[in-house]
Order: sequence, then structure tokens, then C-alpha cells
Amino acid sequence: MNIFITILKRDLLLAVRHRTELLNPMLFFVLVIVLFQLGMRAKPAVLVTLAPAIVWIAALLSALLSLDHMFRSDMEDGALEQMIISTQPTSLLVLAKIIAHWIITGLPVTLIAPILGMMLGLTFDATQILFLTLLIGTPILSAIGSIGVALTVGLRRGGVLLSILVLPLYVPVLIFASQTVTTSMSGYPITASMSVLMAMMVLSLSLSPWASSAALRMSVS
Amino acid sequence: MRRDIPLYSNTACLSAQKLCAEKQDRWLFENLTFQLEPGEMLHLKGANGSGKTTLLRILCGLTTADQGEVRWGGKPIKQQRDEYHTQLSYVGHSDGIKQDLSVTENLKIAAVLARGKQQKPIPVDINQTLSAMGLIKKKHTFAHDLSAGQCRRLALARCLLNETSIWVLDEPLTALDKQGVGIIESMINDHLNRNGMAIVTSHQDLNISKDRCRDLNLS
Repeated sequence: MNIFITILKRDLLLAVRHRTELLNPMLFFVLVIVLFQLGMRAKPAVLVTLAPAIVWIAALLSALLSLDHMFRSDMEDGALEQMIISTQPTSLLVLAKIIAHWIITGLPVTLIAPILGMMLGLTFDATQILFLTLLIGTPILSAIGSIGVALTVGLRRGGVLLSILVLPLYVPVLIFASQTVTTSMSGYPITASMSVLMAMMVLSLSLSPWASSAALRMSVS
Repeated sequence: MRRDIPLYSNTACLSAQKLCAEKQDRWLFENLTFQLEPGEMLHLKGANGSGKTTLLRILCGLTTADQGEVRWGGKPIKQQRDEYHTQLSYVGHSDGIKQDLSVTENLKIAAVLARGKQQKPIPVDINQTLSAMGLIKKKHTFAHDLSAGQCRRLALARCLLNETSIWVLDEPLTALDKQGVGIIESMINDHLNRNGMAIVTSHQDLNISKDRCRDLNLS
């Protein structure tokens, strides 16, 4: 457990000292949504129906934008090698890095989303549901993303490959999450789709560290 | 330096059995077999691109050999990864240092990583290690403010800090000044006196007692 906290603190400290890394995903998220709002001023009604999808697509792309940071710098300065030959279980180190990535990118996006949701014309109730789906959904993005990054971190230009690998796996999250908000806007119960989202979160957080650590060993060798 | 510290508790022979490694359709080395006893150093020599770093990475368990295996205490290292890694320090081409962390922060993380699953305390004091490496005045300096040589010293400080009996050092003398080279040589000599083992690549000659040092030429 000690090692988990050490790596988590280390990554957060590095992010704080490297502010652009911290601000970039959130700035991207805000910009995309503001641009949508500006672009569709003429039809506010259409904007409301599209709002859940817009917010979720922006969240998804901003996660994708920041994914490469998760292991890239550690790979370049040799810190990753040291982690792999350490006596600590690599999957625990990876889980700490996933959580750190979520705190750096997913959490700020989740926290700012309600304001942007209101701006797009969502009702207060719908905004609450949007916030909940992001709270449950963004950790999934970090967890699934870690597998993609671990696989491509050894390649010199893995950026395009990373998107191709990870985006299809993000699609179910996008579908369930935005559908949950839309369903709630129509007044139907959302228990089922929320449960599916939560199941996805538990599954991805518990399984992806194993897959990522195996992929990292391959990438380093 | 630190002659009062007793011998390492866990020492076993390290051996390579018929190691082969291939790169871009040519053999870097074939059927490489050697054994390293406690208290011995292996000085790897060879031209650039002759596979020194690859061999070191195989010995660490970072890369797997195309054929053959590395054994520690008679057992393949693959079967005892955790035990083997508690006894191993590796300083590769890249220092493994986070530039945005201070010298002490870097060492603390290295110590936690090396401590194993049991909550063993850090065996050696961080301040003691830093003074041995001549870095004590830089204790709170960020790594990006250190010179290349000082970064190298910091990376090598990990070996002292973690009390490991096998040191695998890839060009440890790169960027070091005369005093730094002296520190590393006496550090390795002390390590060998304590029954430790070292595998070192270096284009420079190291001042290590001849009866403890063996040369292996890869080219």
C-alpha cells in the first residue's frame, strides 16, 4: 500500500510542477464545448438534445489527448525500467498511475462539466446525472487507456496507433454514458444504464492494471 | 569509506548459461557462458554496438535472451524474479531520475521501490548516501538543476542506498569528473570487499584489484 501512495503522490507532484500537463486536458475540454455552443447559437433546442453527447465526446478526446503522458516520460528517463525491476508488483504501480492520471485529467473535467452543461442549456437534474456519469465514466477512460499506452509506449510514434487501439474500447462508455443522460432527460429510469457503467468501471479498474503491466514489460524489453 | 559495514547476507553465484542475443538478423553474442562468484566483478568490454547493454538488460531480467538463461544461486532468475530483484541494482544508460523532483525526493522513491513487499526500513540513511556521493549540498536541489555528472552520481547513489548485492552498471563513469570516478571506484571496491558482485561496462579502465576483476570482451 505504501508503494501505491508513493507513486500516486509522485505523479501528482510531477503534474503540479508541470502545470501545462494539468491544464491542457481541461482547457481542451472547455474549448470544445464553448465552440459548440458558439457554433449552434441559432438552434438552442438542438443543442440541448446534443449536449450529453457533446460533453462526453469532449471528455473522451481530452482523456485521449493526455493519455500518452501516463508512461511516456517515465519510459524516456528510465524510471519505468526501475519500476519494472523493483520488487513491487508492477500492477499496483500501474493502478497508482491510472488513479493519478484520473485525478489530473478526469476529475477536473468532471468538476467543471456541470457549469458547461448548464451553458449548453441542460436542466439542473440532467446536469446532475451528467456529473454522475462523468464521475463513474472518466476512471474507465484512464484505465482502458493505460493498456493502449502501455502497448505503444515503446514505439517512437505511437500516437496514431494509440487512438486506433483505444477509441473503439471507449465507444461503449460513450454510448452508455450519454444515453443515460438522454434517458433521464426524457424522464425514464436510469438505474440499468448506471449499473452497467458502474460494472464497467469496476471491471476496467480491476483488470486493466494486469494487462497494462504485462504490456509494459513487453514494451520495455 | 564504510568499511565497518558487514558482508551482505544474501550472496549467491550469478551465472549465464549459453546466452544468445540477436539484433536485426545478426547474433550479438552466441553461447555466452560465465559465472560470477561473490566478491567478483565482471568488466564487459567491446566496441559500440557489440551488445554490452543488451547483455546487461538480459542479466537484469528486463529483456529475455533469445536462447539460454541467467541463473542466480543455481535457479533461473525467471523463477525467482522478486527475490532476485531485491538483491539487484541497475543503473542503465538513462539515469532513471525524474527531473522535476529534488535529489532527496528521487532517492526516497527509489528506496520505497526497492524495499520489497515487507515494510523493511530503509537500510542506509539518505544523508549518509548523499555525502558518500558528494551530493549532500545538493540535497534539496531539483534534478534539472544538476549537471550531467551529478545526475549520474545520484543514479549511482541508488546502489548504496538499497544495500543490494548485485550491481549492474552501464557505463557508470559517463560524465563523471576525476573525483567522481574515484568515488565510484572505491564504492565498487568496498562492494566487492563485502562479497557483492558487480557487472560493469566501461570504456575506461577501472582501478579495481586485479584478483577480483575479470574482463569479458564481446567483440
